[in-house]
Amino acid sequence: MSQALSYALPGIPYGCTFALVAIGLVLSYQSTGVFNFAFGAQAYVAAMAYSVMVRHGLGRGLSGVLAIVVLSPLLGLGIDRLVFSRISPGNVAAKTIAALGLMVGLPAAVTIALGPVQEASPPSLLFDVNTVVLRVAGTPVDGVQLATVVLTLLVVVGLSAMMRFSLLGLEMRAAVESPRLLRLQGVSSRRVTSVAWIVSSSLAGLAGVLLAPRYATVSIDNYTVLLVAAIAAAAIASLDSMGIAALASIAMGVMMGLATGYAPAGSVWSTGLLAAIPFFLLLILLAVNPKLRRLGQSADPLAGVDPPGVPILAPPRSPVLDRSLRIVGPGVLLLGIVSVLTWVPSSWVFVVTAGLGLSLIFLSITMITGAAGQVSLCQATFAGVGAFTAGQLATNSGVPVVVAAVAGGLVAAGAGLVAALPALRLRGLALSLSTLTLALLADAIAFPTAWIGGPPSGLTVPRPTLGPISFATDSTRPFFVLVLAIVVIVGFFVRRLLRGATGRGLDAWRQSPLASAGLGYSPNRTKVVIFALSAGVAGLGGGLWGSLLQVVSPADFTYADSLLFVVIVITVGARSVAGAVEAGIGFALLTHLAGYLPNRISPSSIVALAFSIGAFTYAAHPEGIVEQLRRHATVLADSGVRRMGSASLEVIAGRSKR
Amino acid sequence: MSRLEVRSLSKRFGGLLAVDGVSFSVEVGECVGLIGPNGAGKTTVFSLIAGEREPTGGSVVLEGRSLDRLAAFRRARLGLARTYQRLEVFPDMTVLDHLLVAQLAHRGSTGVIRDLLGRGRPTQTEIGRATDVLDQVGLADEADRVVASLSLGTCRLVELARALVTSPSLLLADEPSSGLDAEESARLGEVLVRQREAGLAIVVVEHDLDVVAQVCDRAVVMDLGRVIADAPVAEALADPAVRSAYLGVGR
Ligand SMILES: Nc1ncnc2c1ncn2[C@@H]1O[C@H](COP(=O)(O)OP(=O)(O)OP(=O)(O)O)[C@@H](O)[C@H]1O
Ligand SMILES: [Mg+2]
Repeated sequence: MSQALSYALPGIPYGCTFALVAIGLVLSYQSTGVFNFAFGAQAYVAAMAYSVMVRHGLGRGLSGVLAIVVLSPLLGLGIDRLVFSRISPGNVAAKTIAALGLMVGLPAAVTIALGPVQEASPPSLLFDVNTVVLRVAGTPVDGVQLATVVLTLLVVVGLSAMMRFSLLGLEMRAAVESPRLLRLQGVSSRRVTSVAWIVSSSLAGLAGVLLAPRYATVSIDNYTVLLVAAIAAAAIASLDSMGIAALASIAMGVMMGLATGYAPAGSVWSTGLLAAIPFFLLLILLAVNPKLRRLGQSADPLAGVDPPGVPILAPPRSPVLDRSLRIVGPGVLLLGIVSVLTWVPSSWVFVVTAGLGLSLIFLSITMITGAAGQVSLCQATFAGVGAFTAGQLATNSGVPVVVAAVAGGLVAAGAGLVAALPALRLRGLALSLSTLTLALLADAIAFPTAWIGGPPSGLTVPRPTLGPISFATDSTRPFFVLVLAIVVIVGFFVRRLLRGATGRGLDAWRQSPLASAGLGYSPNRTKVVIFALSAGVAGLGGGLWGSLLQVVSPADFTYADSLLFVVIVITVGARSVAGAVEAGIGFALLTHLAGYLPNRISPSSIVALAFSIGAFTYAAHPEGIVEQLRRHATVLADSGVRRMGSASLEVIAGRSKR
Repeated sequence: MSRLEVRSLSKRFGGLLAVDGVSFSVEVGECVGLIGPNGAGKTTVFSLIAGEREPTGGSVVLEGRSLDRLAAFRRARLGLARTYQRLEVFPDMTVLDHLLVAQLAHRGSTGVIRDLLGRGRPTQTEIGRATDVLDQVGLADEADRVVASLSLGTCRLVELARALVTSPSLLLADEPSSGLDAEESARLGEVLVRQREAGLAIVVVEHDLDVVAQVCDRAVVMDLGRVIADAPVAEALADPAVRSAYLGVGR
């Protein structure tokens, strides 16, 4: 009994760390209507700021105050004013994508500001990790643990009281339900929402600073893992009650404490699986709790007052322009291909080939996100499954690489099918959450296993040989041709899907689920098939990508890559095959170009930041930036053509008069 | 056997009994006007018949077959079609696409493999059928227009055409004439009459009593969730209970 107690007790402060984040999630969902994927990133920003200030000798107290009471509220205000206040309350997809953009952009901004260095964890804000403050039933409790428990209690009680009893709390909940009704009452819903963001961001700051000493370094990955574990607790509370979320967190902590105590030391249990308990819990909850499945859907009774959104339509083109574009487009494309094959320096050929390889992975996002309207956050994981399968088969079993890459695609499709079956009933936010959880599970458990992700030194994926042709030459040019051919073939079939019955049915369902069901449409089976197919395409892309790099490791296919990929594809244009290819090549070229910036600036961070800012524009043009630019250009060119056309007509008319 | 039978249907929203024991039936080739003041529960009755909402009690029978356990999309495939009071169009599709998607949805096969083989495009028969229906409702000239650029009245006709293109056996039309100009309204009446003569059973919710008089054989009048009259149109409109419900006399 006393042994059980000694295992369970440390679980309480551990659970409190989840609790702080879980409360933050419930608070921001209740008060802003946004499921805040960026909460972990906000905590990370505050922790970094605190750590850097302490390192520069500012003192723990002052640094803590600056990080939690000054920086975090400003960050929240900025996020509200610059990002979310521009998105209409009913546009759940845009809110989710903006939050994902922040999740990618904030850490990138920090890396740009501070340089790509590891920040060792700072000393604790209150008390200290190494001093035992008191003993409960013989178990030592250190300073950080005590501070966490006490502060969590204070936060739960204080915020619950605020939401329930104060006018501000009432206004916050009203602002989420219906900003319009609130305005009719003479309350500025914008002000209320800003206050909500300031409060929840401060809470993120508090959590970030308080928890930073627990880890060896201040790293965004720790905060993401914490975030998803906390989502499990928030899910138990159906994102409804902070008290229940806190209790669930503590129960989870105790459970993990007990499991740690009783699990045989050194087994696979005590390393990966234990930490994954909240993840499994979340997956189960998402599958069984109907309330979570409807997460994030607007309930504004006045939503019907809004005029329906005006879609941005492709402008009509004059026949002259249409004909000339039909010649110019392929011409430019051909010129590009010929250039790559002839005079472009081989370092750039490598970049373009990498971009093409990526565009195959991006095509999988076109299928699941562009066509089916579902934001999947584990496409890089599927690419990893493909790459590792290809690598294992090629190096250990001597299978030809091209065959191995196709097999990788098939295995990834199988994984996608297994992942999709429970996700069958999920959509929207619930599907994003469950795929993010799967990605984290793969990162933590599956990929580090040697027979999957290969040895720590990396898994070799050789370049292919086809009969007499070897693609292993140093110039990469033959390999470029191979990848191009595969992209063209896959793109051709994806286009058929998008334009065929599948794409048109999903299109209708995205635009009006009610009407399409009323016509007899049911998306369920199609969604599963598309999910599996898109996983297969990602897997094939991963295999080729691996073959280009020649050595792959789990670090190449993390959850963060999945996030970044989704943000990139949505920013550039998720609705067409061309969008995916443009995104792939554009991303590769930009990252390469960013390498020419001063050394201090990490090229991948600057590109990630740029694309995440692009994601904020999704609400304004959901068809993507490139498509938007293309339409502007079309309008300009079209009016030019028309003017020229009418001018020449006048000339002709003038002549015939004479 | 009636085409549609609604048996003591009810629906509760929290404390409000929006539909309270509603029963009526519709025969083959009959057009019934479901009328009543605002908030009477007409649209809610439609959503219960179509399977968009779960009823609190009662049942719906289509051609002798109970629909109670079927999801909305299955009811649609059995021949139930509807239009919506609050428009439910696909904003960035063309008018023709609406009718093609309707046929595709009605067929009910996902057809991923057919798509990959390049056979997922609409067939000539489907396009032919769509063009016929567009001709009927007078939208032939708008076939290639994107719906978001059309007027409210035209959108209502698009919804009507979309509902008719799969040759349903029962049509539920929710205020089809609101937002239509006089010419469009007349054409709507014509279309409904012609469809009724071809054997379609129609229930139409309508505030324009001229349209009701033109196309309906019978009127079912609702007030505060209950049926207060079910009789031939002229008779129903003359009923004192109906007059007081509409004019608010005696409340
Ligand atoms: N989802 C809902 N939640 C709560 N109450 C609802 C809901 N939908 C409808 N109601 C209520 O049910 C009652 C019936 O509404 P319904 O829309 O069916 O009326 P109606 O007869 O179609 O009116 P109208 O002629 O204005 O279209 C109304 O009082 C309405 O406020
Ligand atoms: Mg109505």
